[in-house]
Amino acid sequence: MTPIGFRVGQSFLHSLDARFKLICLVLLSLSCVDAPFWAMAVLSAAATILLIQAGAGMGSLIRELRYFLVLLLVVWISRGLSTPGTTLVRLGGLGLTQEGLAEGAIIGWRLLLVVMMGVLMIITTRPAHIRAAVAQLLAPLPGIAGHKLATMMGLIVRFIPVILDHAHLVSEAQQARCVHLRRNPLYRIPYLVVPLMRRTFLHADTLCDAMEARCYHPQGGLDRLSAQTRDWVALFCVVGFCALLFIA
Amino acid sequence: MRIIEIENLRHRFADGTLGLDGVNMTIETGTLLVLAGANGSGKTTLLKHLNGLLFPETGRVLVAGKPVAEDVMRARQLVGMVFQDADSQIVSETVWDDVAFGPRNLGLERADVIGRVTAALESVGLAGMADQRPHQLSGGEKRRLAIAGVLAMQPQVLLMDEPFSNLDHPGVCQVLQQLLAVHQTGKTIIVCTHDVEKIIGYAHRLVILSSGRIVLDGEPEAILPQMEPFGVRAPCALRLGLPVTPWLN
Repeated sequence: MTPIGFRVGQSFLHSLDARFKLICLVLLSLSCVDAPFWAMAVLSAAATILLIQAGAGMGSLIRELRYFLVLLLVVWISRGLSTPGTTLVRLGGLGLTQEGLAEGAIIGWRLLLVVMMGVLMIITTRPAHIRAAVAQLLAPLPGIAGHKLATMMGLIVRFIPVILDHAHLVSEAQQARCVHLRRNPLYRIPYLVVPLMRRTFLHADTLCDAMEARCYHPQGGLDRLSAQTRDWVALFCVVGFCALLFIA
Repeated sequence: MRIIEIENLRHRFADGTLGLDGVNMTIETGTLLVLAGANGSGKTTLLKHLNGLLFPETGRVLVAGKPVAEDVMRARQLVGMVFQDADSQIVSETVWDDVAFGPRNLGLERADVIGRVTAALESVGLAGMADQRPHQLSGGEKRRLAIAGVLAMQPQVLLMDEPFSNLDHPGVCQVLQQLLAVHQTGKTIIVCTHDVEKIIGYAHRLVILSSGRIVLDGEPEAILPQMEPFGVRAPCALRLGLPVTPWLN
């Protein structure tokens, strides 16, 4: 599994402040829920152009999103089977309807668009800047420790590949002792989960020590972000576009 | 000048086990000290006391004349620690961000952070990998990144816990060269290991721990022939009756 991550670049999106990108992402994602066809087309075209400009290879992007695309296919077919209308094909007792497929395609398109915009955010923004943006945007909210939340987010992203590596190692060690001959998955699960959890918690302990050894404290370790004119212009354009959709 | 002073240090773990028992030691600035002992002898526990990650039951540790317990942040800035498992020490999603983690915690200005990170990455030969994901680095590169992360905090003392474990030969050479280069800049280095072969040719002092106590302490030539009863294997050259030479040669 190759996670989608930050890529160095000089594109327009790379130059924007992470806080503004995050606000724009939230606004556009919410707008996608009920956007008309023309707005979806505009957003899709813009997202594709920005992805290319940001240096994301379409081939590798599709490869990295393959499981999500399978999920979209499942959503599309499920919608086609569960929506009443003109039946195109009959599968057992269920009919695949024209209206269902059309609705499923629109839902899939909306979800894909939200994911594409999220990918744009991730590949054009340093993870440290995303953390700083989350901490700064959550700071005014009472009862939410924005800095701690941002640190947790960063650590999760950093350690997902490490935990997956551990899982792979544990799984290989189990297979070397013929665990695959046990057909019952309920038997196999504890033998994978228990050593993996133990190793992950030990890892987490060492991580805490390592962070403390480098003077970690919740308020520190975050970049200071500064807004430029282009950030306000971009936000103004996005807010205008969302307002237009709301009025229409 | 004494950079580290340990006075009657005693540490007991939560389960009641005695980790360190009456350790006394002083370390002069610029020393390259090897701390050796069998597994469970208390090496890592002792290192954690120098960095303020653990605090003693009795006794005290002074860094540059001031007790660690009085100002932990100062101690952590002056004494940098590189952990045995580099993967556990690397906390950020890019090489650059990981090296910047410490300087940012110190609340430095952005320009200072950039300066320190650039210098640290150049010093360990990772300048061209600043935007890579740490997960994709080799074992030796990860260890060098961990060293860079500590160097960026500009410590006076560098603690290294089993720096050569799980590394192939080129990885060991890279880390050893790096360690010696840092020592050349005048920093005090304490290397904790149960395998002294690779580093002993460069060390000024060898300390052997056993069951939480210092059992041997002195110049390597004097200590090497006596250390095997304490679970530390003597270098091959010594076993063959030859002089111990620097490992990189």
